[in-house]
Amino acid sequence: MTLLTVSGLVKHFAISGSAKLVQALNGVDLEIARGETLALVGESGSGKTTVGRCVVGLIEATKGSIVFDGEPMTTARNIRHPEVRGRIQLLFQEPMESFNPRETIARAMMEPLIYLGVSGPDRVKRLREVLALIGISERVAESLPSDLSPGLLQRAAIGRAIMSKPDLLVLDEPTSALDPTSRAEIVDLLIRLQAETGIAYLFISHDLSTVRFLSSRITVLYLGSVMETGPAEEVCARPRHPYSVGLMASVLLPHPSLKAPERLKLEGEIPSPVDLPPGCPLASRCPFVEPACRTAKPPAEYPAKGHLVHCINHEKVAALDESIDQFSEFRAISDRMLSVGAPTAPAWAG
Amino acid sequence: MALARTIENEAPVIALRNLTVAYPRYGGEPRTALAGIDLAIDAGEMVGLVGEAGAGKTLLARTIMDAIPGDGRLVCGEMDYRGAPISRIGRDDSPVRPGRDIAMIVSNPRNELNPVLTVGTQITNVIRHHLRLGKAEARERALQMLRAVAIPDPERRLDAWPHELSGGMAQRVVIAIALACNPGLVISDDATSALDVTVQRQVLDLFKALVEDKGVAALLITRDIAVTAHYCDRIVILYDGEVVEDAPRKAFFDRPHHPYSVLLMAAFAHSVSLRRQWTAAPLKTAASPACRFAERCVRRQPRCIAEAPALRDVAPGRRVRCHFPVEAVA
Repeated sequence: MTLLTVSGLVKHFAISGSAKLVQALNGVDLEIARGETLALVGESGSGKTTVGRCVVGLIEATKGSIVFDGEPMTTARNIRHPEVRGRIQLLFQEPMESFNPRETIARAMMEPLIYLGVSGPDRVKRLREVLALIGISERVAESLPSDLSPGLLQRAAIGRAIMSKPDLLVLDEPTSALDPTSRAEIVDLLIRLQAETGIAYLFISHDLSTVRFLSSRITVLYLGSVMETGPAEEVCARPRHPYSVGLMASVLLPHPSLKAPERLKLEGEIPSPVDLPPGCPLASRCPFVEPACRTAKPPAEYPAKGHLVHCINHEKVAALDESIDQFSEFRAISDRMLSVGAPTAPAWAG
Repeated sequence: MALARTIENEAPVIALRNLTVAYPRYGGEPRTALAGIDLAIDAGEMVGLVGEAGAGKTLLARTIMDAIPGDGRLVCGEMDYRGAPISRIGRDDSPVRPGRDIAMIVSNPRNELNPVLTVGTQITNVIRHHLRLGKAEARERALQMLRAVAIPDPERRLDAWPHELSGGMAQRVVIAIALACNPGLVISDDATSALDVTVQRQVLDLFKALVEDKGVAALLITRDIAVTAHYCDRIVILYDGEVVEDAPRKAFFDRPHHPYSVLLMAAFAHSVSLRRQWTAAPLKTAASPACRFAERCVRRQPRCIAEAPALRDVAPGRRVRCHFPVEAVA
């Protein structure tokens, strides 16, 4: 069942003292079903965060529609409307910056419920439930943000976001400020929460390895346009868009034998989103570029069910595919390595 | 290993012995932030230093550069540069100069560059100061460097301002400055973490090629073990100010010996259950254990609480600091 449908989302920002516009989003379509994880990937400047901010209603879109739970979001039925309030939540990248430094974790976590009109005793009751869910003790919850490690604080931030039992959680790079071991703990927590509560995630990230592990579907964004959308394993193992291929080829996995095949090299860097030329946004970096790419935006094509790609040459891209799924290969290697020497009994506790 | 030592018994470019840095603590014992670091890097060798935030990675780099932050101080330890002992490289009578013989690249290249000087001025300033070259010669050398780091249209970029550069281009300029005076050692402190994946790969490929080409010793500091898997010859794992494992790349990734190294690998694995197997339950004893990693270790035994493990050789070129390392099991 569809929870969120975004169609034709356009967001332009004015540049002060200039008639030019930053074309952050140029017609983005996406769909999230209840209880699923859609990952939004792309380089910085591709518009990932802007999509997230439009969805939670922090900024208003220039054009396009957002339908949440069957009803369109409008100026009247916005994020503050009683029917919607508390049902879409946002998690930020930097936990240290998203907490009030003078407020205890417990107070910060209960705060969203005040605005939903939940009574004091019920707020405390819900706090206990959530603390048990995220694995933070009540004693720790009474400390100030500065006493907690970034990983633990991000865990508390997730707790705060789910206090109001949202249907959708928008995660904006939730793990990129964390160490690998803390990142792994956060990812495990997110997987468990989804299994237990049926919450849907819009997971915004540039960490493709985590995305592959966590999400059911992936949308690849480039300069404010969708390049490709499809099931996670399809997009990772058999990408159909030249940009997705380039992106997958630059992933570094932690084993020397897992050097992604350089099927295709993207030259240069992402251009500025000011005054974009017509046509495919990738035209300036694409090795398959043809004159037709520069005149009009490539239409949506469906190489397989549930797999959408905006590229007129997607068959050529599929043909150069040696179908090397480095993520599966990595999984096999790491499973083999980690199962050796793993203790069978719990560690000596002292 | 990329460039074998040209002459037998040639000294490593940099050798650190028992380097210990401590920070005073109000009303208590000083905190040892770096505890007896032993590390040597050969010419043309790229060593990856991996650790979490607070492990002391950046402190180690700053100690080598004689720029220990805050009120930390070097308690003991020796440093050799190309076989000759150096006391403090920043001192006037020291033959080893920071910036010329040992260069450092940090993350966030835009903060590194001076916003009110052109790229060319910043590169030539370094060259003229250290190599005592004239204006025209320095400019010629700066141009060569920009070509070496594959910046398109280098003549024009010489007169560009830092704000006109993208993140990847700015990092290339910083690399050009670092390598301009032919340093013996280059330290990269998380230099590519702020870049996008596609650009990160371009910059790392370039950095690796330059290191091999010029025979520079390189220390690549990162928290991302995946970067070291593809670019480093040797991996050194730092935990809480101590080297816990030091191994050649292939041997390390085939079989990491220290439980912390395995935990780092597990953090990347796509299997929740295997990951849980390597995550330890908290330790109940109040006293701080002798082994610094014991609190998070799944293989800990009573011995780890009582006796600190030493960094010992387990194979040629391979050292582990653990009483109960993860051995290869068929």
